Amino acid sequence: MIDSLPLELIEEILLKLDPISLAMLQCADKSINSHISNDPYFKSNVEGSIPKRCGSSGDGYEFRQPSSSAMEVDEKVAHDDKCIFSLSLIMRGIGKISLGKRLLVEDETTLKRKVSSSSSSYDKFMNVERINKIRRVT
Amino acid sequence: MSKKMIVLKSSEGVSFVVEEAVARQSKIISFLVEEFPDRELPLTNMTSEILRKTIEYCKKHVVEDDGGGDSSSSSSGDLKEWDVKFVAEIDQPRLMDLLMAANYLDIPSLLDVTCQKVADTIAACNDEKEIRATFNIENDFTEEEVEAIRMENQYPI
Repeated sequence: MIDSLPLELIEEILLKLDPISLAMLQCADKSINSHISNDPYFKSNVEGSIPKRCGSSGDGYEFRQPSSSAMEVDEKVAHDDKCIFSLSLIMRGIGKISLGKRLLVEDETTLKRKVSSSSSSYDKFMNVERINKIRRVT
Repeated sequence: MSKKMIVLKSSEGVSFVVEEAVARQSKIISFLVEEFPDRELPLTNMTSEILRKTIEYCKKHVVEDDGGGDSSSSSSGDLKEWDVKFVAEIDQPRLMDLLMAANYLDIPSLLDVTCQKVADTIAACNDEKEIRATFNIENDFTEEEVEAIRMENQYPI
């Protein structure tokens, strides 16, 4: 029933849920699970998202809301310096706050080089690219 | 001066005569009224029951312009309370239909209220089994897959 709703309505509901309920819902239905964990647009919209086990599964990255301030991002890095994706968050944060879009794009290019030279999997790299694409469009 | 009325027709062919101001809370109807004045508007994908509920909501939320500027028919606190009661009385399948109707007719406040009710219902569940039971979701996971998602999420049950 809920899984037969159009995607935009499911998303409308998901955005109103707390992280614990989101995590429960992930276990309830495959299609909703894939929406929560794979849709980069949704992920980038959910502040803090669901707490992940950082590092342990090699999957330790989180996405923050585009609006998060530079200070928050810094704080996050201090806690979480293992995550290479924090780098992109800082860049994104700096770019958004002071330097504008052009530099942001350049930063992303640097990031891409860093990501591809690191051990991160191709899949994750693709994911970042998809998010960036959506960000540029919106 | 009598208020302008418009006619909405449900999928069963039942006609509902509604004040234009009430119906215009739907952006779609608002558009259709301007494009096709003095015409009956067929809403072929809405049952009478859901259309009646939608109209009930719109009637309550209509902002009346009675000469002294805009004044809602109820205070905002009362309205919120009314909304909560309104969605609480609706069972799960009809709530989904109403949500779809709000989306189709483009009534943002009704969409918000119905989505919030679904979210609250999910949040009130204790685990994924209860969510499945409440929303009639067929379990397409194996126990191992559920376990894997839980592990990844630090989700304590």
